[in-house]
Amino acid sequence: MANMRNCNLLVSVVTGIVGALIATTSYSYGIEVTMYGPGAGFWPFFLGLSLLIVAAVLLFDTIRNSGKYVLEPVVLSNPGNIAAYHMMALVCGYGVTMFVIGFYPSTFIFMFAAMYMLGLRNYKLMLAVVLLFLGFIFLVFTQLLNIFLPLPFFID
Amino acid sequence: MESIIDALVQLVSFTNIALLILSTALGIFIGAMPGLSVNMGLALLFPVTFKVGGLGGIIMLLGIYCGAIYGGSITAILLKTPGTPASAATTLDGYPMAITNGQPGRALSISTTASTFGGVFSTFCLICCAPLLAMVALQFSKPEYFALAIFGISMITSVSPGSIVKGIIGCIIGLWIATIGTDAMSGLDRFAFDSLYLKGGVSFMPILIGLFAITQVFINVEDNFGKKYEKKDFKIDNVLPSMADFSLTLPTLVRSSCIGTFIGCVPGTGGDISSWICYNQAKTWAKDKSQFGKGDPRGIAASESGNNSIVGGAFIPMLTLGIPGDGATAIILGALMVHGIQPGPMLFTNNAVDVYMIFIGMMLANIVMGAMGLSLIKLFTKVTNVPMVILLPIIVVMAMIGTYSYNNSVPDVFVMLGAGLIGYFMHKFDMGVPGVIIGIILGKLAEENFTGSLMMSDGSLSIFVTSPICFVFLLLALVSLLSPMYKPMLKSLFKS
Repeated sequence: MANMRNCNLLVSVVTGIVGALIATTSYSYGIEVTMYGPGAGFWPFFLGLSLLIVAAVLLFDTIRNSGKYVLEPVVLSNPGNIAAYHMMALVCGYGVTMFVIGFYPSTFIFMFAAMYMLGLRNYKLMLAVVLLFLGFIFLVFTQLLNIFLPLPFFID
Repeated sequence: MESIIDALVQLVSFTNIALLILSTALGIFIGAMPGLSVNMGLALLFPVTFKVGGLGGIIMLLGIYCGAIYGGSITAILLKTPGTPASAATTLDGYPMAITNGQPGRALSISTTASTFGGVFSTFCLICCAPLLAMVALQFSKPEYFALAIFGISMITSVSPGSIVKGIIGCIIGLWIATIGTDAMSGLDRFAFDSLYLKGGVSFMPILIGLFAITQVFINVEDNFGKKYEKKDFKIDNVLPSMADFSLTLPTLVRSSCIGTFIGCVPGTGGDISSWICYNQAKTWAKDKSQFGKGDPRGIAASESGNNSIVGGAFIPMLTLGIPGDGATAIILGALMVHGIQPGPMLFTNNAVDVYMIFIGMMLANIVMGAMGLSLIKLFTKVTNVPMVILLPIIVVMAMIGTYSYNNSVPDVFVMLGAGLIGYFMHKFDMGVPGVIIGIILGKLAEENFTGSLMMSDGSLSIFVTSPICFVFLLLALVSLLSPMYKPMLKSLFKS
């Protein structure tokens, strides 16, 4: 099981890297202050530098209170987390297929799969919910609000 | 006066009233569902309000906001599970009155009356105080605005849940995201990496929906894993408030509404802090404390008027200074900007009609909320039975529609999904999510005024300490950000 010490170390390292990248990239935009005001990179450079400082503070605090943070568990691999990861994969897959096969077919598949994954086994209820909800979307969003929803890639 | 009449004429139409009723009902539903938050409701429905457009869209946001804060009390009273954190204190007396004493109707009527009273009271305070504060804020120049933005960010970061240091990281990341795109001053592309999408800047909308809606879906999947669905039936008789209850709770209502409005004004606080303080105050002031925790009407009234009265309070700094009080007002601030309304002191002179429409809209939202609470409460208790297994996929689909329809942009959908995944791990690692959104929203304000201040001073940073107002705000920001360092020392000092 992960603990907060390791998570804090990870967060501080990632933050430090991101901060350093922001600061170095900003430097190339110009950070000098002239009578016309600061360069385009001044403010983001300042933010990058701030991130580096905060990352260092977090690292120092984690090392100093290591004993306390080790006892703080971070649950990342219990069955609940696994279910959440499955849902993440399903949602990402839905996001991609929406632009391939179109909004309505992908939503039909996603909703069925998501309800099944969450433990529902009443297929009649699942079908009724999906059809009713899709009908609601068609009426309210497509017809009433004129919202354009993604079409299959083969329909221009 | 002319502005008020103009606002009324524009506001009172069949469409606007229908939108207000619909959005308030939706808000109550969102608030009543444990696991759905006010922020999630606002984030999910914000794109819809954008499509509705103009005044109708803003009215919808007000209805959702007011309704969702009140809705949290329904499950707090009936199931001992607060729909929103702001209603946690309501469980202390609401649940015993409803279940142990067998008076669910009475508990719900006290909660509805208190919520409406608190909401209307704080809107009155907003109407009275906001123009005065705006007049003071008109004296502010760029350094003061920069200091104010930093003060707002620091307060929200230091009071929000999770580690303060990690909250600051989220906030700085948000401030950095706001810098992506073409720099308005120099015309230079920053962090765009030759991407056309990034050159236009990252819209806060997909990040907002990802962090508040998609992340919450993943958290709910985890929390509800393995839990069996149980249908609950409640027999609710009379939900109309009795005169005896009203006169017993009136002093508590007035006191809690005053406290709640004041707490709402302070950036970084929220309904949960307010309701606990009001509950404790009600207990302190009561002559007979023996019934608290066993179904005392004053306990319910204190908590509910306390959390609903922050609504008007939080709008005071948001409308006059452009500083959001919490995550929800940050979303509303962003939405107002998208709808073409720029909050700040100039709003009261340039867009007086818009300001009065917001005031009247909020007043109406509270009244509609009270009327719906008293007349449709039986229906709202039924919707709390909708199982998560059906609701979660619907939320995902709504998030997709909302994000895509905002700009018809495919990258926006992927940004939203990325924000949702990162948000889940931020939650796991105890990092405050609202800080990112507040950083993005206040980022432009902070940078523009920082740059403008340096131009005013020919590049000297001393401008931030020579102005007394600016110095005080920056000092307060520093004090709140350093609080994790000195709080333990102060605690041990007071203990000894």
